[in-house]
Amino acid sequence: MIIHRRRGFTMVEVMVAIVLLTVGVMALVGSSAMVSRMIGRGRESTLAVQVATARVERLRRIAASTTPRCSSPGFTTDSAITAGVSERWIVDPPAASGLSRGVSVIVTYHDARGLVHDTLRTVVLCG
Amino acid sequence: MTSRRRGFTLVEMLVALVLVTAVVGVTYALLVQNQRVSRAQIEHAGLQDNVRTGALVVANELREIGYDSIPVSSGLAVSPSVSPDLLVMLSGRLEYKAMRGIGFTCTAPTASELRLQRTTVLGARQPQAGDSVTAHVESDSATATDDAWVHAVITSVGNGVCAGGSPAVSLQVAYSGAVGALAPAKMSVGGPVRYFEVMELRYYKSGGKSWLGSRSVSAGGVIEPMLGPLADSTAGVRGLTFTYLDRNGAPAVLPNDVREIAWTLKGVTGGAVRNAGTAALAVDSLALSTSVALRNTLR
Repeated sequence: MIIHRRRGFTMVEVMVAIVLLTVGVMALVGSSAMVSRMIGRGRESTLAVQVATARVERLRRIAASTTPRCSSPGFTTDSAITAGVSERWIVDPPAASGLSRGVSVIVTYHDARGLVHDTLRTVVLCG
Repeated sequence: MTSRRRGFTLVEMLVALVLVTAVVGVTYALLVQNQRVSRAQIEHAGLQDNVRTGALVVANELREIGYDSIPVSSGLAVSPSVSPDLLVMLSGRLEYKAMRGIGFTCTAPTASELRLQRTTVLGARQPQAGDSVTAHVESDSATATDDAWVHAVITSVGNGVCAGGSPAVSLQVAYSGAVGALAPAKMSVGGPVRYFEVMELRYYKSGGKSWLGSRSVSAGGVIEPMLGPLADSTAGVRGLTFTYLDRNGAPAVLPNDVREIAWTLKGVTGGAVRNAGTAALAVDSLALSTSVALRNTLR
């Protein structure tokens, strides 16, 4: 009598192993792609934040260019497109004290997920 | 009869070998790819970090730049006169006075000495020889219109004693021009003294790469890289360009007219990396433009 001792893996086992391996490899590749996307988004937001920061500084310079401060016609709500970033800035009406004005800069830009809006809010001294 | 030939046949062996080679090959390719992507990610993150730091650090360094103003009403002979904090204003280099701290006098100032109460001397570091100072001239304490800040250079720093006996930092100073003969008598005891280090920011080349370097001119230091690598001057946009704007946003000619400094910083990756959308390796760059409004107020 011939004894068959066929050890080894069945087809099903092999397939399950392949599926598991594939899932693992895909997760690895996927996480790497995600990190790449996040870095890409960081690049866009870095640029946009600098556009907003530069706008605030520009408004500060304009606010300080007149005596009394904040009376320049250029110190007003407006919008522009700078380095591919669309920015809109809002100068609040004078506060009761007259010593400061609130300023918001809203930047709009594209990243991998679509349109992103970021708002930078600060106070410009007028006293 | 029992056949006891265990083991693999040659064919099985060959098939297994081919399969193992294929799997190892694919895994290795993935690993190499992953390593390359990871390196690119590190480089890109570093690049962003670099230009962001540049925007922040430069802004913080330059924000306090101003000028000393001596109004006519102060009664000082050299009025009106200004001593700007901005000393050199070029597109790739600037020299400026960076405030490093403040202290308050505790004895009557003389033409050669400002004695500061040690406990009031606060700042990023202690005053040093070579630093410049601006001392407050109070004159008539009933009005602010005759107040002035006058400029002097610290020739040496030593220890002293205040009028009340507490320890003091003694600054030996040299005033520029006729101010020295008139101003100290008009200063009040307890008046503020700010001290400044003359600093230089420069775009320069070292080791085949371009950098933003910083140097203390007061201390006679050598230029050291602050951040980089930046794009070379031969590449389309230069790695660093400063622009000086006056109160109306037009290019300023004189240091006293500067109200805003704008700059473009173009960082590059340390080496060739794989960039999004391309298979080829190339140096990636990121240009960032920003500006800072100077304080530039009377002080």
